[in-house]
Amino acid sequence: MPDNTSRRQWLQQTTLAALGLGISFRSMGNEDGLTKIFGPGNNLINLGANENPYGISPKAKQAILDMMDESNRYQFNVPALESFKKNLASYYNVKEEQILITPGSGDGLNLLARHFSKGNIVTADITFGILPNTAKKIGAKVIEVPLTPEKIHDLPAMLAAINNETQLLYICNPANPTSTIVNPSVLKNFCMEVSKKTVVLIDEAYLDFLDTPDNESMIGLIENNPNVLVIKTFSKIHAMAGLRVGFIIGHPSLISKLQPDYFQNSQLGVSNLSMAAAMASLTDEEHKKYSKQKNEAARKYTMDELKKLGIDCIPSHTNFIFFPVKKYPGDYAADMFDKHKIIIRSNKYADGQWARVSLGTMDEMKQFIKIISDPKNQLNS
Amino acid sequence: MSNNSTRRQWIRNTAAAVAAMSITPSVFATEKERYRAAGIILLNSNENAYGPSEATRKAMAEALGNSNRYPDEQIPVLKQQIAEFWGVGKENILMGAGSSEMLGLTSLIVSSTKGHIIIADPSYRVWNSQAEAFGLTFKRIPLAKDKTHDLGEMMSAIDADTRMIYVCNPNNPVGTYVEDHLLRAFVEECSKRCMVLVDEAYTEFASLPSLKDIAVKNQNVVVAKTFSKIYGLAGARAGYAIAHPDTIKKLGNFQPWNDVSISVVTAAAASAALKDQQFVKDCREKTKQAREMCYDCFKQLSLDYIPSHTSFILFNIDKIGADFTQKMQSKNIFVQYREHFGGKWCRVSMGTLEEMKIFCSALKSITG
Repeated sequence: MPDNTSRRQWLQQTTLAALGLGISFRSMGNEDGLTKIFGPGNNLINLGANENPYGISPKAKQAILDMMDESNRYQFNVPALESFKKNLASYYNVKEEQILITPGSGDGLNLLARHFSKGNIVTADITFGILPNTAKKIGAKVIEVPLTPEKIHDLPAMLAAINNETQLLYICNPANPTSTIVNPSVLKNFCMEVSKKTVVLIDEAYLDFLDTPDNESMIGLIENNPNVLVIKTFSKIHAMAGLRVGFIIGHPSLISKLQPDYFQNSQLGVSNLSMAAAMASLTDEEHKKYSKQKNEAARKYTMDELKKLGIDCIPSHTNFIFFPVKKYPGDYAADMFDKHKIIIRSNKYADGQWARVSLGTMDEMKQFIKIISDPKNQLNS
Repeated sequence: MSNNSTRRQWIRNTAAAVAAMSITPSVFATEKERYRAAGIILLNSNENAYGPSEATRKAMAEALGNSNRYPDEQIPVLKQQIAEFWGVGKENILMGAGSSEMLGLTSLIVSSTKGHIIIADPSYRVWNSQAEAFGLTFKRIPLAKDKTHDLGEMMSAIDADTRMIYVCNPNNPVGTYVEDHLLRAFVEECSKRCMVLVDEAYTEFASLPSLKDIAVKNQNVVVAKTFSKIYGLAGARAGYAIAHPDTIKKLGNFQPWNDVSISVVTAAAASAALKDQQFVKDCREKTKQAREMCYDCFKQLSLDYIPSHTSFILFNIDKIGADFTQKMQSKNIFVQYREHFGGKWCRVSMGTLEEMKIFCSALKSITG
């Protein structure tokens, strides 16, 4: 259990984050400013950061152990790591010069926000926070287009929001924090349309939780279109949030412009151990399938239970669920933490307060449901 | 070169040991000689041939179970530990994936107005292309006759377009350092006019004090530190900046969220490495012995060298020729070819004492 001081600190930081300064958790998808205190013995359930509770692939674990001794060597001195980019390229059927590897996709989003900051950036409101928040922090204009009432990207409105100054349009599909998706053929047409005017970036962090045909990547558009970018991460289906590996895929002409604008030295920001783990996990289809199926079961259970409780959640396509807590009088996430030791996210929007709960294991979700089922917790929306 | 049966056997042993959570030092000790067993000696990148330490490896093996969680829990703990180690506040520290990230970020925050960076020639250059991409140019000031930073000339070079002065002390690739009191006076003075970035990657080898006490008080001073050198974690990517809280904030604004590029396994490694000061001491001592062994060899062969206070030595190869590095490479020894001071030089990193013996005999056979 956290002591009072650390709990206070957490609440203070949450409050600070909620108040804003541009790094609010207005977009709950952003992880900034939210210190998590869930260390051993804290007895906390962490359903706050859309992490994969099933852990990394056993092959990735072995790869880390194998690579441990090479942690004194720079990656260019470790022959086993030479093929990392090549492996990624061949897995996603692109060329090596189409890939920029970053320590987590967050670093990539940050780079893209900076790179395209000379004009405006079009995003959804709400969306994953790193890119728009970085843009705002450094003084770039962000045009935020509200989601539809169903919390889906409003593609026509986003297209219409593009103007002469627009440098980038950002879509997180599946969306964070709302967990909605756009049909791939619709999205493809949209990307082609947008790319005539500006660069379009598709964040596919959660794509691997989808089934065919919804899980079609936009990578296929890139070969013939220098204005399409895709960003991906090993943090979600690969369960490697703590290992910090992500990458941008784009046309070589655009990747070669991004690389020099990066404050990291090429892919040197990624640890040898993380690269080894990513290489092992990349092709471990068994483990991905395992995570996906476990997640589906926890998702079905949680959505069903929320429905029984009369909580009208947005149907989830990912490893998290977005649900309204409009009648809740206080700061829902802060109270969930303070009273029940469960870390989730919540925020007040124009249409009231909403919460995002990441899908933990079935046991964790049962505990979560048990707590919110208690009438005295007043969680019904 | 790493796939031999000994290695595979070792891995199996290690995996079993780790699984049983009973890691014994002897298991790890054998692997230290792996490159030597494979016949490859890497003396090209100033890595620590002894690293990472046993305690550090153990910490990594234990931490990998946290790989699925963001590092938000470990990083504040590591930062606190680093802050206590240096006697500064947590708000004075920003973590990154190696000090390279800090050099890149510092270049970025001074690049909002076009201008130049003053740097010694030669000095550490790997980050220079990033600064150039941010629109900055470089004014390179030759070293003084004794091959140390020419602080007087560097200071005189400051003008209205100077955005930053970079001092790598001890200096890579020459291995010399400027005295602490001289550097302090220089940094205090220059910081009135521009940002001063002090790269302390090699201070531990020379037992030099850090300039962190100036940095925490002065918004125009950033000290860059790394776990890549004496701590033996070059591939794990951990470094940090020590600076005034306002400067840390500015640097952090360009990270997606602060300190986040370090992996949980690396955070555990860095934490264990920092605690293991005996390892630091041992590495410093062995590196010194390795340097002395090389000096003897250079003297025997009448090769000029620059006495070093780091984990590498720059020695002159005009007599041998530019193909020296290829000749070494054909003997499975990797070193760096450099052109400095109008001549040909080789920068050789200090490996283990055994590796340096092999290096010396290879050098003798090539020269002789």
